[in-house]
Amino acid sequence: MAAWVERKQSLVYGSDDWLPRKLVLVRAGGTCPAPFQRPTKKQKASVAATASSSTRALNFTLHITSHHGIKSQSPSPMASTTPQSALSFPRETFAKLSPHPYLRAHLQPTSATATPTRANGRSPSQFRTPHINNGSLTHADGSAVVRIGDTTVVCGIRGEILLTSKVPGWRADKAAAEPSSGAGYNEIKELDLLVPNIELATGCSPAFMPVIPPSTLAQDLSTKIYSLLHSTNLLDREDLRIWYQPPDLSDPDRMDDDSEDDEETSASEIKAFWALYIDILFISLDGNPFDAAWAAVMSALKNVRLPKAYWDPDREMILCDDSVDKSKKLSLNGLPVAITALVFKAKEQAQSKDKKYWILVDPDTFEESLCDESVTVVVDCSEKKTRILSITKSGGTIVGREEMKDIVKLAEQRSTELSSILNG
Amino acid sequence: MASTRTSTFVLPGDRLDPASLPSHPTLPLKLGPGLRHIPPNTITPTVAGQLCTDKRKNAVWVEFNGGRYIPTTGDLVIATIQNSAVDIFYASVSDYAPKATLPQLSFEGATKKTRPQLSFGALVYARVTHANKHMDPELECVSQSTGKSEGLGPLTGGMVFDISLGMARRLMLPKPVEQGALVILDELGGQGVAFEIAVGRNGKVWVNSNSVKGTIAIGRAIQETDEKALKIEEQRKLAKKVAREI
Amino acid sequence: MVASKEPSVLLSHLHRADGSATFSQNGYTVIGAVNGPIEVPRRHELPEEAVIEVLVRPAAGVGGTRERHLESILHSTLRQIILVHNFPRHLIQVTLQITNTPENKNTGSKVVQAGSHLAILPALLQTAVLALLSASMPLATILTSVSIAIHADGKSRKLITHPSLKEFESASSVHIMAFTSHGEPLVVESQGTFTLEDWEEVFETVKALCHAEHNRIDDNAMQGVDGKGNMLEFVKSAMGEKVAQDLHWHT
Repeated sequence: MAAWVERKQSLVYGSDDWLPRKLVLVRAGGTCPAPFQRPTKKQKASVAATASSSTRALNFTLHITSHHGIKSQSPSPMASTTPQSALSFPRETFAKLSPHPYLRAHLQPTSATATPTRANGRSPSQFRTPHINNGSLTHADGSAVVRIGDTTVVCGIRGEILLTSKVPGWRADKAAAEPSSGAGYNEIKELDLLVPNIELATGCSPAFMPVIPPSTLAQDLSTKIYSLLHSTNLLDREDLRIWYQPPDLSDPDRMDDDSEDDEETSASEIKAFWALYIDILFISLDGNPFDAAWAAVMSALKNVRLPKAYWDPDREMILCDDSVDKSKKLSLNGLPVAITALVFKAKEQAQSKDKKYWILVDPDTFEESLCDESVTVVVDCSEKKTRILSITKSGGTIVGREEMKDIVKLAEQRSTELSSILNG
Repeated sequence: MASTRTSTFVLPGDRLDPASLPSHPTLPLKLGPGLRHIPPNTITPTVAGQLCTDKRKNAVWVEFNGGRYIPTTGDLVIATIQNSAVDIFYASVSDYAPKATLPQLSFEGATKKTRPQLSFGALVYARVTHANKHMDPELECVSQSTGKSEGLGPLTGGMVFDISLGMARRLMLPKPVEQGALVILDELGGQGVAFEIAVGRNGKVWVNSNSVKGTIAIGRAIQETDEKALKIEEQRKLAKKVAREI
Repeated sequence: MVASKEPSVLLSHLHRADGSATFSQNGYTVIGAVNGPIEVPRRHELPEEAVIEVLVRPAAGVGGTRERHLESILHSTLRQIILVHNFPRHLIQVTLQITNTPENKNTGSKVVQAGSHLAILPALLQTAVLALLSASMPLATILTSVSIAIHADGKSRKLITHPSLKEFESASSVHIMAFTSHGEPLVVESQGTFTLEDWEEVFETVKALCHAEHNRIDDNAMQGVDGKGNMLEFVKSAMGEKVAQDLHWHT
């Protein structure tokens, strides 16, 4: 657990020399006391920022002083005419007052050589370092704690037994007859054997109030996780079947998992299924909930050990074996990794013509509040050729073919990084 | 008229052919409803409709029907008083939309002592004086320049009928017969039916006549002309039928 | 009954709503109603732009997490095309009621399954846009949406435009995309197993189906064009008809 108390990386600023050292806010009219020196013409750069509230249409002129200065974004006429009194604010205040120009000021490079850096010190294509801790919950069959920056997710998976006799309309031939390809009857889907549930705990972010029904975000996330679990065909359905073979036909040790058996010996039948309850709990949320939740699900699924379950014909119930040696891991089909990127536009107005933008991967909450367009790509690089499992994008028109290519490339890089942690 | 106006069908976001826009050497280009100017020099439609241009006035606009009334300065509307505060009335221009304000002194001859007493549900014929996306609309029932009502003010008696915004526009055209292919009112008048009418751009028409029966018949006739898109001949027939019934 | 791939629409048929449309394609039928700009409760109002509320109601039962997911996709998409800054502190309400879904062969199971809940997304998007057009809501652009299924087995690969629900479910990957009339991608929902090359091919295919050729401004654009599957042509002709009917008096 020592890893959890390391320094908060996201708050350490890079040493890029262009970064603003002091942010000076000048209010037109000069009514404020003037304890600070006015920055000299060379040092100052002005970003005219109209206060975002129309009801209080105050015009703030933001002077950003730095060693090298930032190029003038759109010089305010007031800045050059009358002498003004300056009021200096710490960067947090600037971020709160006018978040959009704040982030833009960070990303806009001053010189051709300087690389754009986000307000959190990362470069646009830099992910936060993931930390994964497996098996920390004792009562779950599999669990994982994933921390990406200040986003922390706990995922616990618990297997419960669903008897075929309890399934309405269950026919033994239905499952056996259909081919195991994606087409046709898929019992994992039909019987709802995977039940993800997401909870955004009160207090994980200031946005969540106690005692309200599940937020739209939570519902949205669990739908995404649910459909991704199914569309990726991640689980082998044989893993979730509990077979019973009458003892007179073959020896009971190998009744489990030989899929050829069921065709030859018609006597063996599925008595029950494992239903996996996947509970995902956000302890803290600082942006990018989907990537973190998906990583947690993957890690927890890899961690799952289902006890050996068998049908006891005498007691007519399923019994589970205590011994750990006989318990089984799930065989996962690939190792999908999700990455999310946002598009930050230079112009605040959604339908503006200005097309300058930055693509920011692994966004934090501050960045999420400033961007409309988001792209999520799920890739599986466990085999030689990268398989893309899902691409979703909405909220904007920026990301097209070329941009998507770059994002997929980033996803591949991230996938190798995460896989080594997930597998290791 | 027809020679100076052309019309083509447009959808929101369509790129307009610059040649189709009127260009006048001196007059500035006038943008009517349904168009948006994106600086520096793009003009795109925002609604589906017919792009109309008037070369003489150097104006371009999109003719469309439907939707909700969006208050615009200078429009004449029929508003319903909802409640009153110290010196203003709150009036509803369209359902569920923010209430418009109507100062109690902006009636003809109104002073602090003699202000009109309007209760909930009273109808007024008013002009929109302020329409700003950031503020609730403001109405007046008196002309600022002359101090006269010029036909505005409380509507007493009669009934209000809902019509489409396009129909309201047709009724308010300077020459409804020629420009709007609308003869129902003229025909009714020609048949000797006496009635009063006030048309609001917010899709409402107020009708008053000697009898309730007549009022309803005239109002229904206007609505039918609107809904069934009656041709001139059909309007004539309808007017005759209505006149007979009254 | 084989559901028609050809879209059909009924416009402005609800009298109480500001704008409405009923759109059917592929066995899905959705009624859409648009109201707005109207008053918004204080705690929801935004000082700079209109609040957009999207309600998706399933054909049977009440909305669940799937509908919330669809709503959130629709919300972020419609926000991009409605000129929200024209109506600060107002509400624009888009209600979409699904009335018909294609028959699911796995009867007895859950009505709409995960993954295939996306199959209805093109119909929802299209209905919303048509209802907005019917309400004369100021829009920056319109969007058109197409779904494509890829059936791949080892060697052969086949792209199916507007797949039926069966084709949708048995496909190796499904792609739902929406483009603006300028050919900019607005929505992408791709699921299944595919490669970047597959995706790019789909991207270009859908773009061609949703995209307008700008060099044609003349009126006879609708004739002589192979309108099959081209959603933009469909929207154009449907709206053109409606406008012509509305403005029959206009010379």
